[in-house]
Amino acid sequence: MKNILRYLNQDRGSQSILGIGAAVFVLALTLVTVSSTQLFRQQEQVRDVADSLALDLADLLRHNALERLKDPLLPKVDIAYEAPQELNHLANGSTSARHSNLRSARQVGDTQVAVTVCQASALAQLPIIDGFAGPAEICAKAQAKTLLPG
Amino acid sequence: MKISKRLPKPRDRGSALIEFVLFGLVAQIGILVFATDLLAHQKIQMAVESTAKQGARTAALPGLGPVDIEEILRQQSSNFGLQPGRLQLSLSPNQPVAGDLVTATASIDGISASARMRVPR
Repeated sequence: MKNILRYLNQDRGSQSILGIGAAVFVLALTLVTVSSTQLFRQQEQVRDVADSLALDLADLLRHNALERLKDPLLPKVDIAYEAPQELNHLANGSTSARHSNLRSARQVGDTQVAVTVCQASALAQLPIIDGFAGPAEICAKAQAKTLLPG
Repeated sequence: MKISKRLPKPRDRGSALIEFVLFGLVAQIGILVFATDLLAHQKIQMAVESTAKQGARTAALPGLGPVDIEEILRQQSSNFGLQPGRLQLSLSPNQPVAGDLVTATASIDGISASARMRVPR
């Protein structure tokens, strides 16, 4: 007991333990900040791709309706069929859409389109983390509405 | 008081100074410089991505003129605290027509990002 009290009352010790502990803490804090910013950036990118695709498909609906006014025999556009091709067009030459994959695309009513686009999380692909932290996929949903002629 | 008198005199004063300089200053400042660099790089990436997105959206609107590009660059430079003229934005094609896929590419010091949108048909 006496020895313990004597040990607690002295302030001698190695500063290196404190220094290493502080350095590890600051490094961990840095990595958390950088990783969260990375995830935020990717979320923004996926949202932009989903927005662009939904607007593009809604415009396609309107264009198809206009064409069908001229030629009533023209078939209705199939959004589920057109969506992957439109996403490919958007992905060519776009840094944010390049690794996107289409989860779902459907027409809601006569005038609306709903899409879900996903990307593999950049954080989960890091060799050290390897899916240990954060989501494996980042997805975004977008819906666009158009005005049909007539 | 009695306890401290019984303790042997500390003989590691020189070592403490070296440890403080090594772990307290060199390591911490090194990590701080690394973190600052990394965050500055991320800020530039966010700036070019945001500018490319704004450029593509503006280009997809009808009636785009050269003033709009200048306005985007001015606003984005102000938003991200960048020096005017550092941020560049280019559109392809320059004068998009209905149905075109327009690509906006923004860049700063070799870091670039591009976004694509279709002009309404």
